[in-house]
Amino acid sequence: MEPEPRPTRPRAGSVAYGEKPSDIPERDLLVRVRDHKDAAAREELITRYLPLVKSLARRFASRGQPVEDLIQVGSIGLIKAVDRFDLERGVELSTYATPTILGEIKRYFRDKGWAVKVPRALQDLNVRLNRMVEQLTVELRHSPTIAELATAAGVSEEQVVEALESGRAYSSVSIFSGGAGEDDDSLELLDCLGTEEEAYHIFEQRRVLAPVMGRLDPRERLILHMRFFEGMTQTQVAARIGISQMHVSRLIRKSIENLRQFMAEEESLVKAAGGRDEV
Amino acid sequence: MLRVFISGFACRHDLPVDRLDDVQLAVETLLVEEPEGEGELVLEITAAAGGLTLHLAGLRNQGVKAALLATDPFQPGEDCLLDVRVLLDSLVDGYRVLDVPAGLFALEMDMRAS
Repeated sequence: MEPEPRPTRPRAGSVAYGEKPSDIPERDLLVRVRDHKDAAAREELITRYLPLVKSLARRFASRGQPVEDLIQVGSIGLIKAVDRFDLERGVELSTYATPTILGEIKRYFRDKGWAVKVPRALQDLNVRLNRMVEQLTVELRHSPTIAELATAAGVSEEQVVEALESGRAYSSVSIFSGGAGEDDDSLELLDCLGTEEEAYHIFEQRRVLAPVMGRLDPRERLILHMRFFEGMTQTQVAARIGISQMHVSRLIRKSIENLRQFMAEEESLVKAAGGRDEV
Repeated sequence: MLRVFISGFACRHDLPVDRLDDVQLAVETLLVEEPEGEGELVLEITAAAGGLTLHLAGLRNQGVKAALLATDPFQPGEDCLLDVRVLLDSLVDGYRVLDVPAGLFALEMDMRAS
């Protein structure tokens, strides 16, 4: 007697289809992603929305970065949008995905390095001043003033102001690196901040800067927590995690910018859904 | 430009660089919430005993004003995305919301040098 054929089992993370994914309505695909973490449905949604990514990426074609790179970055935003999309919100995926994709592309530009052309001499002075701030903070037992920095560096106060300001043009503040060439010997933040659980615990506090704090990187949350909820100064935060005060300054700014971007995305979603329910 | 202006003032009044950065961020936080291209903003800095007082006038974002004056937990809205009160509480040593005519408001912030 012939053995009965075994029923076909779907791949892990995918559901058996009676029809091709490309023939399935978008809402059904979203339900499959939500309820079954269906990989094939997720892939189909991403494929369908790639033209949107390309169209948004082309808006930034004249900003000095290859469009192909922008499409890749935008695709990450699309994947995040598909994964985070909430069917109960009553808005279209495209409505939610657009600000998420744009946010990812804008973050890419922010992280890409010096935003404006800064003369090499000024960049070098900025790096020297970063080191001097650390040395003088230890020697003077307080964060130095501009006059003290100028004396130590042998330059004018105006040059110190200019060099510090030029440091703001450097926006490559990967949370895993020192940024702007300083802190090369410091430990990576990841190594300094303790466990993920410790960092995640942070956002259980009652007061938050914004309801979307949970979307920040755990380390960004930790930096904001130390500065704005534990009341530590930038210098104290820097000493605690072993990076420079100027790098702490950049990280705080970047974290706040990210938070504002996430909130803008949420707000556009709320607006599209016709009002605030729960964020 | 604004940061350079504040820096110039700060260096004449012995404000340490971390405090300088805080006060710059406080002003930037308020400016970024303002509607673009509407009206004139005026920043005045005066030297007070042991620090600076910054007076930022011409602010028109009522969402920010409400957030700064609120006693209830922060509720975000399109016109005020972040809890500016939490930020200012840490960034400056004190602040006051001042009403001025025509629906505008001003903010006075104190910054001690140490």
